[in-house]
Formats: sequence, structure tokens, C-alpha cells
Amino acid sequence: MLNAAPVVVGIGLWWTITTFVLVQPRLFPPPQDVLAELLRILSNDGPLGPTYAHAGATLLRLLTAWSIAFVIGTLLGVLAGRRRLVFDFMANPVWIAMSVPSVVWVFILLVLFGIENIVPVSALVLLLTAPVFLGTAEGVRAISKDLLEMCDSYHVRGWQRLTGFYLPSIASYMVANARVSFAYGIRIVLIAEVIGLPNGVGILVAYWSDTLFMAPIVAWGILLTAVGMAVDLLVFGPLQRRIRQESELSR
Amino acid sequence: MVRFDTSAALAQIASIVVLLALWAAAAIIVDMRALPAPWLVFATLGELIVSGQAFAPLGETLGRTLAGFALGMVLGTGYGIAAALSRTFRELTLWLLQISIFTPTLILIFLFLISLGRTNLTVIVLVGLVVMPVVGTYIRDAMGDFEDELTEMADSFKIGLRERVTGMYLPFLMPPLLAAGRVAFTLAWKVAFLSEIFGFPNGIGWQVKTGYDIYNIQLLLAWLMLFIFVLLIAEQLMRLAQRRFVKW
Repeated sequence: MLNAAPVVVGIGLWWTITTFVLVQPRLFPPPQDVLAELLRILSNDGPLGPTYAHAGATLLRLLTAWSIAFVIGTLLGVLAGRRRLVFDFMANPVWIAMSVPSVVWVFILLVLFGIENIVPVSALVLLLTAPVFLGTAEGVRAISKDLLEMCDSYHVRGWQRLTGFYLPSIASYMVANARVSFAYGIRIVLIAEVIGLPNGVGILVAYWSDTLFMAPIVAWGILLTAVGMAVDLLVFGPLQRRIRQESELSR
Repeated sequence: MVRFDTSAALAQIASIVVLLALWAAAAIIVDMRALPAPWLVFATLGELIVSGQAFAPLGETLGRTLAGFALGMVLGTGYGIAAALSRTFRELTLWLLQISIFTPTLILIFLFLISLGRTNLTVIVLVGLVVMPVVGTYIRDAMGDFEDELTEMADSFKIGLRERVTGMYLPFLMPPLLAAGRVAFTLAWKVAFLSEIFGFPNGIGWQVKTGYDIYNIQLLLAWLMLFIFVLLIAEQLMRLAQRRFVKW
């Protein structure tokens, strides 16, 4: 109850202000206009073709980039967590990849590759790999020395050591990494999509911004926020709880 | 210990050299206009700095970033302390915080720039609002650790509120504030830059966008290097401050 109250109050305020003070539905859309846009999006109707196709393209890009980033980040992170030198070597490139905004990566990659799906996906991979890498390295560094020595003495090596030892020991870190990078991804995926693509939510939002219609922008914002929160709450939340329980049981 | 640090520094320098070498090699293979060589880019950057052209956009972006950053730090710290002290407040703001964390940045940028107009204040408020939840959760969690340890002791010694703030809370909060500040500054710098790319007509971001629009990649990369350098300097300064405070 307490959680929802301020949100309800906020919507009430929003309605009051847009109905009585700032009466300019194009620039300051009241809640009912946004709701109408939301329904219009859900009924697959939009100015640049079916909305589900755009949303699907965006989600596909996000999921592809997120999975690639997760695999690369985890593998590099394990290496960097084991060897301090690898971490020091990786630190600067990772920092640069992370600090350049995705749209600038898109500028550069567009010039290099032309208009392709690979451009926004690789821009996102560059940005999403960094948090996974840092989290994994931290997790591997936290593994106790005794376990490592045990592994050495039993000659567990290579692939078997990775899948049988490292990854299970850092399972809770991996879920946390996946969670953080997904939340980050859904916030920035649109930024990578505004330029140089035939479809995606980013294009739609830019179209509405150019034509000065705010209601659909807010509607898309609500949709994406809702998807992000739902995935976080329904997928990663329970997963993290379960892994935490299991690690406590095995202790 | 010293040996360890030098090998770390060497590895860090080596990685930069490798990156630059890769860039140079790629520039030689790829068509020059699409990917200018690093020395050309740095020459352009040098020109921008020597002729003084770099400073006006830099100042504009930096000013907005710092103002938004300060706003976000103040709001975030206030939120963090309030949320740590009052359970009701934490419950009340839980959803709002979640929503603010998950809202796509681009939507916020478009919304703010168009609804509130393209003024400096718009960008400052936008930066502040994006930074606030990050700082807020950081401080809230740090305060959570604090509660159990010291409050009881302060209670039993009957220490006044003013002394508590200056003697307990601030010294305790300094390390998490600096850590949050590092993350927050990076975020603020990026959001200010992004809002310039997506419609604010001056500053470094706008220069990068112009470089793209007129297909001058050399210029684009030169401004981007400036963006990265400023961030790097800010990071180093914060790290220095952090090290000093943690030692103290």
C-alpha cells in the first residue's frame, strides 16, 4: 500500500497540472492521452508501421547484445580475476568502452560498417560487457584460496575447471551481473537506435520528438520501464533468492 | 608493494599502446575518411586546444555537468539519509526509486528538452534527476551499515544532533560519498553530453554530433577524445581524494 501511494499521488498531480495549469496536450500530455497512446501501441498501430515489429526489433537487439556481453564479460572476468596482470591490462580498454556513450559508438561504427543491425548490437555489447567483466573479476577474486589449492592438487584444469569450479563458485555474482547489465541495457538500448536503422523503438521515439508529440514518448517510456521492472522482479529477483538459498544450504 | 604497482602501471600503459596500435593499423587498412589515424585525430585535438576553440564548448558542458552533479549529490544524499532513518519513507519511495532507475535515459532527454525547453536549467535538472537514485541507493546502503554500530553508543553518551552530524555522520559518510561521487560524475558527464547530442545546441556533445552530420570523423573523434580526457582527469582526482580520505 505504502509503495503505491506516492505513485498514485504523482499521477493525480500530473493530471491536475496538465488539466488546469499547463493546458497544452501536445507538449504536456495528460494521463488519459498517454493511456490512449499506450492502448494504440498495444493494438499494434503506429505512424511507422506495426508497433510490435519495432518493439520486437528493439528487444531482439537488446537480448542479442546482452547475451554476447554476458559471455564475453564472464570469460574475460574469470581470467582477470585469476591474474592481476590481465586485470590491469584490461582495465583501461574496459573503462574506455564503458565511458563512451552508445550513440557515439554508433556514429563511429556506422561510418565503418554502414547501416546494419551489427552497429547498435556491437555498440551495446561494448557498453554492457564492462559491468559483467568487473563483477565477475570481483567474484573470482573473492573465491577462497583453499578451494583454489584443492583444485590445483586435484589437477582440475582448463574447460573443466571453468565450468566445474569457477562458474559455480561465482553463481551469485553472475546473476547479479546479468541483472545489472540487463537493467542498464534496457535503459540505453534506445540511445543506440536513434540513428541509422530502419526500425526499433528508438526511431519511433525520435520521430515523435521531431514532430513534438509527447504522449507517445511517455507511453513508450512507461512500457519499457514496465518491461524492465517486470523482468527484474519476476526473473532475476527469484533467481537471485534461490541461488542465495542454495549457497547458504551448501555452507 | 612498489614492484607490484609498477607492473600494474606497465600493464595499463601497454594496453593503451596496443589500443593505439590497433587503431593505427585499422586506419591504414580502412579508407582514410572513414577512420582517420590516431595522430591526425590528436593533431586536430591539439589545434582545437591551442586555438582556444575547445574551451567554450568544454566550459558549457562542464558547467552543466557540475551543476547537475551537485544537485544530484545533494538530493541523493538527502534521500539516502532519510531512507535509512525512516522505514516509512523507504517504503513510500521504493516504487518511485525503481521507476526512476528503470526509465530509459533517451525518453527522459526527449521529454525534458521538449517539454521544459532547451535551457541550461533543463539539462541541469535532468542530470540531477538521473544521478539522484544512484547516489541515493549508495548512501542508503552505507547508512544501513552505520545504524547498528554507532547510534546506540551516541545515544548512551547523549550526544547532540549537531555534534552527531559533524562528528559522526559526515566522517562516516565521506568514503561512500566519494565512491558514489565517482560513479555519479561519470553518469552526469554522460547524460549532459547525450542531451547535447540529442538536441541541446552547444557543448561538446553538439560538436560531436556536428562532426557526424558533416561527415568529419576526424573532428568527431577529436572532440570525443576531449570528452574521454576530461572524464579520465575527473576519475583520477576522485580516486586521489578517495585514497587520501580512506587513509585518514
